[in-house]
Amino acid sequence: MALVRWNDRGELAPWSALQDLESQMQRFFGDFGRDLNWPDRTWLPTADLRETDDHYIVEMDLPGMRKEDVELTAIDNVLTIKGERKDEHKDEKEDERGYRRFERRYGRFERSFEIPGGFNADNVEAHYENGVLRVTLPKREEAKPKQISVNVN
Amino acid sequence: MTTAVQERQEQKTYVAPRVNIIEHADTVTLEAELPGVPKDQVDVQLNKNELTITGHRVHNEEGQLRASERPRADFRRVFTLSRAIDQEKVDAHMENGLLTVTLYKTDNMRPRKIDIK
Repeated sequence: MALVRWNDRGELAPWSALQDLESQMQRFFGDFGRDLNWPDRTWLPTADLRETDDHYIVEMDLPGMRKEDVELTAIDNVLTIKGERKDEHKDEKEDERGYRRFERRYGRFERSFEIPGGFNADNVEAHYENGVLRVTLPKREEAKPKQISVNVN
Repeated sequence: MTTAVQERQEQKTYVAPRVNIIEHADTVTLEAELPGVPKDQVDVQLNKNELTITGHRVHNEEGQLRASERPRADFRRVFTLSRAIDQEKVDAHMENGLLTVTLYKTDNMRPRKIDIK
């Protein structure tokens, strides 16, 4: 497990990410954001990983989705987020000669995240707000930092 | 030497949100993806024929960032509207990080059915 630490680039340059996202992922995520199985990839939502003393937090940008269309599964140390964004314009009546630009991605996505040290799958919390999915993964007791006080005589 | 007008150099970096633009018979719908932007942090400005969308991303700063793909910068994108668009009237709606802006065509640009007598 090689979780590459984000080196602090406070003033992030214009993030022309999507074109070289894969190389970015390799660099920043190492194995963390590895897509375990991806037969028909359509889009790849971007995500962050944060760590506190007690939790790992995965945040994923999923604008314009319905909560019901996102599915989370936890197996061993791996959290999988998958879902489908439906193209709500499919059946819409458009002006056929009208102007159209489509940059938004639709369809299925799936990403798996390997959490270092694992997590307590019974107490995972997920929350969707302002188009961001936030998953809180409590660390296992043994993965938490421990302070050991030593008595000095 | 001092100048009468000084310009403040502001080097703020933005990312352009992904958009869909769809023209209908009477309206034009613009959808912009603004994940992480609460409703009260979205700004839609219509200035003459320029439509500017700005969104301030609110980030969770808890703990340490271990891996990051999501841009830290705010969103901004400017569109120039044609004269076919009503420059006074615009509707905006924000839901689940998706901003939907409805622009109205001016009356004389709407397709009109002309009856044959």
